[in-house]
Amino acid sequence: MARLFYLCILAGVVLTVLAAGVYPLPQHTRYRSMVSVVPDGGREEVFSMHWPQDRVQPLQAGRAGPIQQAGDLAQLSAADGASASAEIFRVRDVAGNVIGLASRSVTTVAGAAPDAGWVLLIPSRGTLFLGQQQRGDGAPAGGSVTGGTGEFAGLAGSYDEVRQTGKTAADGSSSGQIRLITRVQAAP
Amino acid sequence: MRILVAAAGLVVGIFFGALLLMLNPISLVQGTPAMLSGAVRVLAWESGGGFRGFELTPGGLFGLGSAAGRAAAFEDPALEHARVEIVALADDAGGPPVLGVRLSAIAPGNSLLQARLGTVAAWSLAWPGKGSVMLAGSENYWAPFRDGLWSAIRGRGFHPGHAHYQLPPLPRLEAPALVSGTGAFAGVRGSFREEYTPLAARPGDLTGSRQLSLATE
Repeated sequence: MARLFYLCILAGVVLTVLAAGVYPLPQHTRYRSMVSVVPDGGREEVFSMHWPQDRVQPLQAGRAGPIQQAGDLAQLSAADGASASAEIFRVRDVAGNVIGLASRSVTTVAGAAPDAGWVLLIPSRGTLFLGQQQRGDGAPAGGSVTGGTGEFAGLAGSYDEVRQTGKTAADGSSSGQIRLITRVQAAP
Repeated sequence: MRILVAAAGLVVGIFFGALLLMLNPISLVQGTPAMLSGAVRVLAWESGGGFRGFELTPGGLFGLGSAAGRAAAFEDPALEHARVEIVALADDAGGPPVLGVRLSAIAPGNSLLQARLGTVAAWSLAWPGKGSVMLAGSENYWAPFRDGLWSAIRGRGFHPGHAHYQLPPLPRLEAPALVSGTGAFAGVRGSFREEYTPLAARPGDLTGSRQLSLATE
C-alpha cells in the first residue's frame, strides 16, 4: 500500500510538470506580412488606420484624473499652457486585417514646432518607433524610424504619413484614413 | 482503500509538482531586475486613466478572461492579448504630470517550465512643454504570480507577499531601453525599470501601484 502511495505521488509530480509544459499559453494571431521590396534596397510596408472605426478610446469616465478628452485626443495641459496629447488606433495591413495598435503622441514645446511620434505595436512581430518631422505649414509629412524590437529590431529608415479625409457627415463627424508608408533596411 | 490511497498520493504529488514549479531554480537565475545607470527619475502611476485590452491579472496572462475583462478586450483576433493604457504619471523631479501611453502584449515564448510569464511593453511619455521619450522593454510577472498563488493555496486569496516588486525583463528579449527622445530628451540614452506594488483592495490585479524608474545619461 505504501508503494502505491509513493508511486502516485511520483505520478502526481510528473503529471503536474507535464501539464505545465503543455498548457496552451496565449499566442498571437499572425497574418502574412505584406512587405514589398523597393528598388534601391530595403523593404516597404504600409500600415493604415481608418477613423472613426479604428480609433481606440481607453479613457474611463471618472478615472481619467488630470487627462482631458479633447475631441478625439487625450490631452494633458500644464499651467503655462503647454500640452501633450495622444490618440490611439488599431492598425491594419494593406489587406485590411487588424494587426496591431498604434499611438501618436504630440508634445508642444515653446518656440518650436510640436514634437510628434508614433509607436506601432504588432503583437506577433514587435514594436516599431517612428519620429515625426512637421512640415513648415504644420501638416505632418513623415520622418524617420527611430527604433524597433522583435522583427523590427536593428532597422533604420523613413516613413511618410498620408492623411485622406472623407466627406463630413451631416452631424459634423468626419471619416478618413491615415497611411504610414515605411521604408526600412538593416541599420548600418 | 487502494483507490483512496492512490487519490491521496496523487493529490500530494500534484502539490509537490506545483511546489517544484513555483520554486523553479530558473526563476532565481532570471529574476534580476534591469540595472539602471545615470540620473534616475521616478515616475509613479496607478491604473488611473483607463485601458482597453486584456486584463493584467494571472487569468489574463493565462488567456482566461473574466466577464468584466471580456468587455474591455479587443475583438480582433490579432489584438486578443494586447492592451493599451493611458495614464498620468507623477514625476519626482516635480512639474506637471506626464502623459503616458503604454502599449503591451503578452510576450512570445512565455513558459511555465521556464518561469516566464510576462508582457512586452512600449511606452510613449510626453512632458507638456518639455519633450517626450519612447521606451521599449518587457516585464516578467513570475515572482508576484508565484507569491500570489502560494497565498491562494494557503486560503488567503491572491495576495503577493512582497510589498514591492522590481519586475525583471524577460530573458532572450531586448533589454529595457530608451529608444528615442525629443525636446529636452533629444539625443539622450538610457534604460528603465517598472516596479509593482500590489494593492490589497484589488487582489489579483498585477497593475497595482506602479513606478517607472527612468535612467538617462
